[in-house]
Amino acid sequence: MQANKRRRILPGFGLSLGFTVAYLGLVVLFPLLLVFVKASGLGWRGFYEALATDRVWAACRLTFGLSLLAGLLNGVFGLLIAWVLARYQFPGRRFLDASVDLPFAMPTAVAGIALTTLYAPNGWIGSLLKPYGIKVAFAPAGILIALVFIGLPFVVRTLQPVLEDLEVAQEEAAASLGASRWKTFQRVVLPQLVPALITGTTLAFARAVGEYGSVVFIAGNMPGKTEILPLLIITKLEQYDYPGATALASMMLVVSFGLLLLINYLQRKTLVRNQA
Amino acid sequence: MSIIVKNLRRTFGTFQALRGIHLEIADTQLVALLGPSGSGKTTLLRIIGGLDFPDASHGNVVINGEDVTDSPAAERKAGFVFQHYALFNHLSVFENVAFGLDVRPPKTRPSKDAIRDRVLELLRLVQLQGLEQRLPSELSGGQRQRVALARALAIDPKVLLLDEPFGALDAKVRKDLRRWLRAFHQEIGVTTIFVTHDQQEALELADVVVVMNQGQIEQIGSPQQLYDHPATPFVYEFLGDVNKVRKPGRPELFYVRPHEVSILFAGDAKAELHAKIEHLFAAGPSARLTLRIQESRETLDADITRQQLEEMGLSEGDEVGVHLNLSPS
Amino acid sequence: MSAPSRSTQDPAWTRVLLISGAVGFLVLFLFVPLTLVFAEAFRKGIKVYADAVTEANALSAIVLTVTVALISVPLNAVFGIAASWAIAKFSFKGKSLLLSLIDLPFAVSPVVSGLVWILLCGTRGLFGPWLQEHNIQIVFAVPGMVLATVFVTFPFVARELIPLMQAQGNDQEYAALSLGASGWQTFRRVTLPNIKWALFYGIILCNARAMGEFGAVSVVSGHIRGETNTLPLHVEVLYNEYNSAAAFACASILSLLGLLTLGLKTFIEWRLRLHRQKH
Repeated sequence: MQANKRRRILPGFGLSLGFTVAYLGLVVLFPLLLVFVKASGLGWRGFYEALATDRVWAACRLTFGLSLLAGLLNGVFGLLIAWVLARYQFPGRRFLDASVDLPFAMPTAVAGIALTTLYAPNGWIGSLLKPYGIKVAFAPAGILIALVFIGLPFVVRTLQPVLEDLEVAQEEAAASLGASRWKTFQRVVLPQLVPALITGTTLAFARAVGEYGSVVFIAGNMPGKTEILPLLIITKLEQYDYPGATALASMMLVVSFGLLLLINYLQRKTLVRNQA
Repeated sequence: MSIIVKNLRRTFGTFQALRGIHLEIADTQLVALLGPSGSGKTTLLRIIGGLDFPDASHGNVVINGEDVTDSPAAERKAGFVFQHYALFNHLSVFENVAFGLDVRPPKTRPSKDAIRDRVLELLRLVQLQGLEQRLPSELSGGQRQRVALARALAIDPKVLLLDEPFGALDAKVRKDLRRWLRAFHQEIGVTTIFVTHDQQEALELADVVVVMNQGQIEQIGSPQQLYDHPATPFVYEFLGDVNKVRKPGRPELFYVRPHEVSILFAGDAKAELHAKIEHLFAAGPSARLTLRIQESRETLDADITRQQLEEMGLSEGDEVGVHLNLSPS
Repeated sequence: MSAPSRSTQDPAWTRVLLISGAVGFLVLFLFVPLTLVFAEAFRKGIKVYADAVTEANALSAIVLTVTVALISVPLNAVFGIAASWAIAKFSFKGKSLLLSLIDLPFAVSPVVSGLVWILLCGTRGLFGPWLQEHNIQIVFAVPGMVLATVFVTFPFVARELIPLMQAQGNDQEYAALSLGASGWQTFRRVTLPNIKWALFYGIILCNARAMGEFGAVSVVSGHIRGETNTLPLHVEVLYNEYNSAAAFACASILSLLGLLTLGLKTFIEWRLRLHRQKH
């Protein structure tokens, strides 16, 4: 112990690490662990019964399906926006750049009521779509829009630094070898963006799966049709169905941890690639 | 002040950075720790300065008769100058130099005026008067180096420890600063250890050079001793150019410096080897010949005077005789 | 970033097309909703707006929002400093695991972040009976809302500080120690000035999330008007009562907070860039 202690040149290791671990354990790990303890108290049978209902199944399909779709849409539009911000000079670029973080800075409830009012049948955009029979608010399309809104910054902010660090010389080399701009993008630029693009999309997907505030207003919340998983948990809580809520929560936590591990792995891979 | 390092070991995981270092440094000496990267020289310097510690119960550091092995850096009064200076970016030059005095407890802290006088005196000493209010980011590399030196001197250090003091500077500044540091050390007379991987720097500057390799000391001595009487093949190779050659009929490898190679006419009876001049480069008072030895097909570098070159009328492709003036070692 | 040379410059029509696409998307998805918030807030005039934001329940929601943030943000800031000191300045086993665990709350759905406190401190929770016995109300009261907010905003400050302190290395701290400074002096006079902008940045983001959090707080709040409604929850109540003008009036305050955060964030990023360029 004595020998170990004198290896540390800077003071405060024990204190800072002790506080970090204690606080992390108390505020995050212990409460999360409890969810699994409670869920395991249900037994496999209870767990299965709590989850194997049509309503849960429908909410799962809706939540994961729309989150995936939102992640992919964000991948496309995020790439477009990141490319424009990183590569082109035009008036208002800095302003636009800063505004990309708006979904991070805006409270989700505000985004929720704003999007709902906007896409409601009598709203600014909803009224334009109504004549064509397109229903956005209180329909899956509305949920998708909220999820795209909330996930956009993840893709842009993951891609931007990678795009800015790309060697222009590689593109010049491709051009000097006779490649067109489009071919250069396809064969030289895009492959280098793929890891970051996947990371950003996964981040947006992970956020969308758990999102509540911006979705709950626009969703309509019809059981089996437009009810998302987080809302289902709240509904179960309000009905004092604690076992059901716990089972759902533990399932969502497993998914979140899986995604977190995947994202960590992807980020490490991106880092290694960029350093090579 | 004298420094004694006894039987020092330092292990990082499975890597043995230092394997039993023994070193005694006399008062006011200017000592170079010389070695390739990974030789352990910086680790040794950091351990002397209290910025790293030896393996448990493996070695002692004694400064001026006092065992400081377990004392933290703050108590050692060792002025440490970091490779990249580690100046406090947010503080002015003045505040950087004053830092070591400012952080003293109120009882031993000099008065504001005394600190001011001391800082200005130090800045005069390192020839930076007038730059007190600059931020480190507004200084050149050489100026930052001298601020770091003044900052380390402000605490009246018992020893001065410099980690690659010229590593981050360009060639011209490096030379000037080297000369300046030599004179500066004579003026202040503080025992100084500096780490370098540049043999030229070590030989020109130091009273004593400690050559290190793979965590061990290969040789300690004055620059002259080291150059003339290298104790090991490593020292031979590390200090200056050296040829490794075999003589016909002898199994062992001979180490010979280019200026120890005599060039004779091909038919000369004194010739031990025969060679062909592959490349010839003459600049200044000496000429460098790259030879191909006929007997072994090895290459050999030789330095001869311009005068000899002209007198013998040598040119590329000529065949010559070679004699090795091996100094007894 | 150097200006692209001609060979890597996209043709003008491509640039115009792509820029229009990006701008169009951002206008549709970000600026139109933002504009709508203010338009709806003032639709019935200044007076309705002023009444909505100065009404007793709105004021108490504002006070509660600020209170919750004032407790949870400093807690997480202290944690962030401690965690970054331990992780960036020392090497130890399990460091990368610790780093991943710190990020955990970001991966958890806000609803689940609220739920954990009900399982822990609710009447049927682990500590429920004990808390009831001692007459301590955590869930459906302010303490629960603070805990939920602390959970949700947990990683913000640590995440900003750790990479910065790792990049800065330990040499300046070592220099301070070798000059005789104590550990506390080293931290206060050398480390803190070097991380102050990143710390501020983390605190700003942490605060924005703390004040704007909806899901987690909604789960643990009792939705008692004037008592356990934060501003975002108050917005929900007003909206569900079809009091659109008042809901958007309160939402506009939260939007201003978001815009202020964005402005400060951009300013600090600019400062940090300047700082990096100088050194």
